[in-house]
Amino acid sequence: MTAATTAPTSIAAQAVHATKVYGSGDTAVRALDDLSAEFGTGQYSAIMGPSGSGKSTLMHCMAGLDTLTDGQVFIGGTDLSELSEKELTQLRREKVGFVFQAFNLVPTLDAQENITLPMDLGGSAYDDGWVDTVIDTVGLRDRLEHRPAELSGGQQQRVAVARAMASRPEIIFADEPTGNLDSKTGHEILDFMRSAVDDFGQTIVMVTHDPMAASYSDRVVFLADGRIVDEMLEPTAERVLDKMKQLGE
Amino acid sequence: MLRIALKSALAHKRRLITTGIAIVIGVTFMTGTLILSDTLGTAIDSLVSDAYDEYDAVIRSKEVQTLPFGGEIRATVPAEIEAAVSAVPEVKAAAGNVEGFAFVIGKDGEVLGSTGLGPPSLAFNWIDVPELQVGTLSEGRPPENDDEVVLDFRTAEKGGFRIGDTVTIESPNTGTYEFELVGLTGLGEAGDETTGSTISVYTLPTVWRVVGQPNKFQYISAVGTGGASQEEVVEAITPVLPPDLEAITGAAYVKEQQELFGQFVGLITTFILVFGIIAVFVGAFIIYNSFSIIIAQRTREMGLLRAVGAGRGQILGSVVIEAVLVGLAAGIVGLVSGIGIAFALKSLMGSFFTLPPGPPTITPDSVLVAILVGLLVTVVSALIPARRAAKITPIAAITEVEVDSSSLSRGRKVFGTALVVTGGLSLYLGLSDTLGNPLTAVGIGAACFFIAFAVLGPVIAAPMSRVLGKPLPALAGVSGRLARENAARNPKRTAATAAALTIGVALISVIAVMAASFKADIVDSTTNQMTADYVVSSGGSFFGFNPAISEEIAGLDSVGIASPLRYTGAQITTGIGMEVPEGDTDQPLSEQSGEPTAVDAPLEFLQGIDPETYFEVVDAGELVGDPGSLTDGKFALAEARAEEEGLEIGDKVEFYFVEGGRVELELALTYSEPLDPTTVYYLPLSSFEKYASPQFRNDFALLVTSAGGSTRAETKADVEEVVAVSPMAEVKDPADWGEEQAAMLNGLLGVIYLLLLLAVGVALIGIVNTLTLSIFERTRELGLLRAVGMSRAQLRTAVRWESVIMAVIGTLIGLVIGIGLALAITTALSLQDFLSGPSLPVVQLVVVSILAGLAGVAASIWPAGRAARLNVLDAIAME
Repeated sequence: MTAATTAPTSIAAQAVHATKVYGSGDTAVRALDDLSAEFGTGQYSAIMGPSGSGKSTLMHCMAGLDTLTDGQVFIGGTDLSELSEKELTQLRREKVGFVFQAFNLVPTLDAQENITLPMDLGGSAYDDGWVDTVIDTVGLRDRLEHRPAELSGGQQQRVAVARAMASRPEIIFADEPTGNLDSKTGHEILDFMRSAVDDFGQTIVMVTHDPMAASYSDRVVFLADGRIVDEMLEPTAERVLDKMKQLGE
Repeated sequence: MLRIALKSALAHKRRLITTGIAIVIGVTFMTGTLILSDTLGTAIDSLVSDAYDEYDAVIRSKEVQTLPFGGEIRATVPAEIEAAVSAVPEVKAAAGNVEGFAFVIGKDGEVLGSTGLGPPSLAFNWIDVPELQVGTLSEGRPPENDDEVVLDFRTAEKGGFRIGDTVTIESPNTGTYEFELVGLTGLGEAGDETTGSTISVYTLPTVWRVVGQPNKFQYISAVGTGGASQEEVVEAITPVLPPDLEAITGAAYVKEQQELFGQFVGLITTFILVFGIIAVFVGAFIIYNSFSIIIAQRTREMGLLRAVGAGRGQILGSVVIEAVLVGLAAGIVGLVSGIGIAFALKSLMGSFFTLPPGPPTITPDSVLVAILVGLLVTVVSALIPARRAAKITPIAAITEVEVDSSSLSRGRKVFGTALVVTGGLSLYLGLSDTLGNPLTAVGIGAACFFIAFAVLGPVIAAPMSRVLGKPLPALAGVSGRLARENAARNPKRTAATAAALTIGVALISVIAVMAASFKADIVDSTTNQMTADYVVSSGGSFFGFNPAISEEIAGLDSVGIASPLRYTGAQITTGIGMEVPEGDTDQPLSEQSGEPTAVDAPLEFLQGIDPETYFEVVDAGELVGDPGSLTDGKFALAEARAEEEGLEIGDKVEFYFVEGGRVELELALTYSEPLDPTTVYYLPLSSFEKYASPQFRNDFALLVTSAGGSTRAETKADVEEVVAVSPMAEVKDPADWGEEQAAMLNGLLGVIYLLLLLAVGVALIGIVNTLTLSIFERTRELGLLRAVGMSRAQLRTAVRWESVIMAVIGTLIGLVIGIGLALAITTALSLQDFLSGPSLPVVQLVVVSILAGLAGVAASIWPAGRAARLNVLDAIAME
């Protein structure tokens, strides 16, 4: 794991004084509270924290799915708050990859179509060689014609990872990607994501509450009450677990 | 359980509202029609009784013929009876009433008022007895001289005529006249109400001249002396009447006239109501579909209810209660909007004739129909989905079930295929002329195909979606592919949604093909059978033109043959006894009065021809017998019909004419090709003149050929010069004349299409509903698509194409069924010699298909907008 020790050379995504308030008055909840964070290019970051700590909100705002109440978010050099709805859609299509916990795939499209979906939506020609590489990496060559309903949970997640990688996005956001899988399949998915970072220089930000999953990352950012409370480089499952206990989960 | 059902209904109120709209439209239409009919009925009753309320007795002929679409024709009363009636001591005054047809010509030379199915143009005589006057003079004075006329105020208004103006009047029987307008008349106390008819009133000698029926009255009205009751007046009059006349009380006459008008209103109401019922039927499909989808989406929730102890009956009950709520609401909303529609239609009708002020007449019946139809249709349609809901097991609460993916059973395919085979066989047997009546076989075949379509719809929906959607990925990329797959993913849902549209489209295409076939038949027979150079035509009106015009044309040097065509009706009464009720004093007069003397023998259309010339300008096929032998007292008949009736040349047939009475005529000639398959009895003009009622003694067409030395153009110019005097006649080429005859169907067709569009509109709401429910179901999937970069426009595109696919499936199946059925019917009719064969209105059918596709686009607007507005984050976060 050489990449883990290397300091990031540039910043893939950045949150600056990010604040997100839900509701107003007495019932207002500060999901993000003046939070600033940077995620380096080619780095595999994990965001951890107890429920309600704001980790999902942070990810949604960074990915252009949600907007901040105050502050800024950057993907590459782009300030998301300045983008229109159309530009945000285009950004998600071209510069961001997603892996969700479940319901990752469109049921009416087969595996191949799901993988190339973002690029098909863009209508742009894509790099067949790269798509082939990704498909081979996740080992789906013989499943391409199958629809999601004909795939196992692990296979579905592999398709999701392949889709996220296929468009060579600047950054992949993964929201509990192994949350619905048994541990063996989970490890497989995490291995794929690790190799995407190691072999192809992919940037990944993953939200998780599983210390085991976090241990695959280069750096773990711990959140509580909408702020960053700690950071850990070269995490191991034990150290992360200890930290989490410390944070009171 | 009631509380749960109520809460559930409230929680899904949005979905239930869109579901209910489908029924609301049908109910609105039905109640609107009923209320309008009641309102018209009330208005007409009061107008009629206003007009005749001072009559104490009406004297008229017993000879009457009922017309197929309501109304009747009665023989006239000789003028001298008026004096006999006036002489009866109990009678204070009596007056003969002339009622004939006369058209008022506007300043632009066109006929004011309708020459077709609309309110008639009537000519009356002015009656000086105030009690017996029909209507009230509102301005000016009565006609006193031969050159004076009084018009109804509405017609004068329409034509821009003022008192003192010259008015041109055209009588179909006697020609063109000019009169000075001296007064205006109308119904009601102030003479400012109208039934919409065009009325012209003249002095008695003048009206006789105009309508060409001198010394005849339609009826004689009488008012009694102060002390005598209506019955006493009638009893006093009866002895002075010849046996073929009768006297009835004024009250009975009013009631009879009200009933005659009522029949007409009833006919129109029934006609419109049929389409309301079709709309409700289509709505039932949508209710069924919506409830199926809603229940499929709530499988988990129902499973949970079952798990915590709800019984099957309770689940069933909860769904039925929801349906009751929707049905009641739809019934009430439909009633309210039906009243609104009736209001709107009432003001529209008010511009044609006078309606009583105030709200439309709302009877308890209309209210009951609205509520019951809304309730019953909704509940019955929801029963099958409700039963399905009751079958949900508790385990459904915890297992992941994919929504609405029940597979299609083998039994369905087998049954459906069997139906198609049976239907096909029945059609084949029917059309190969091996069975007795081809129409019965066609009917059975059609029924089989309709049921087969309902059964097989879900089986073919998915493959059809895929085939139709084949070009979509190329057209619209991922959106197109998603649209295709979404349309194919719930075949039952797609099939039921499309089925609603299929019904409307099938009916439209049946009508379109049948109409085209009939039109083609008319055009064909006129172009192929007519050898005349020109036709002088009455311009597609229900009235002919003055026979004097024909005579003048016949006398032209440039004209060779001029052969007129006339039409009338008679009943064939051979071997049927005729009861003429003699003044049976044991019966109350009111019951006696309405008794027609005619038997129920069917009315046949008769064509009056000139035997010398007709067969020279019309190719009637093979003739048996000599046209020259078709003299007075003889008739000609189509060969096929003669065979059917078992008639041979020389056989005698008894005809009953209203004015001419019972007449025995001899079959002198048969021919093989009728010009119009519905009119196969031909009468020589000599007999026609004698027996047909005077109002039919005008020419519908005059078939003209050029004389030897003249060119066609010369003949045309000469004929046109003669025809120019009459706005009722024009010169046409035979082919154009055929087109014109065919075009007479257009008005009716337009109305039918318009009313069928209602069913199509309801079906579109069905598409909106299905799409909305499907989008709701796919929230998470749509969120995902948006997250990975699908734009709103792309999402809208996907929904739009899905809608178009459903619409096109519905349309295509509708077209196939409709065209197939129409082809079968027209072929069957041609086997019975009513038609020469089927004909496809290709352009019209293509237009229907394109419109249906566009309708699919329209139906997608709202659901697509909803899908596009979806909050991505909510969709993803939804559990």
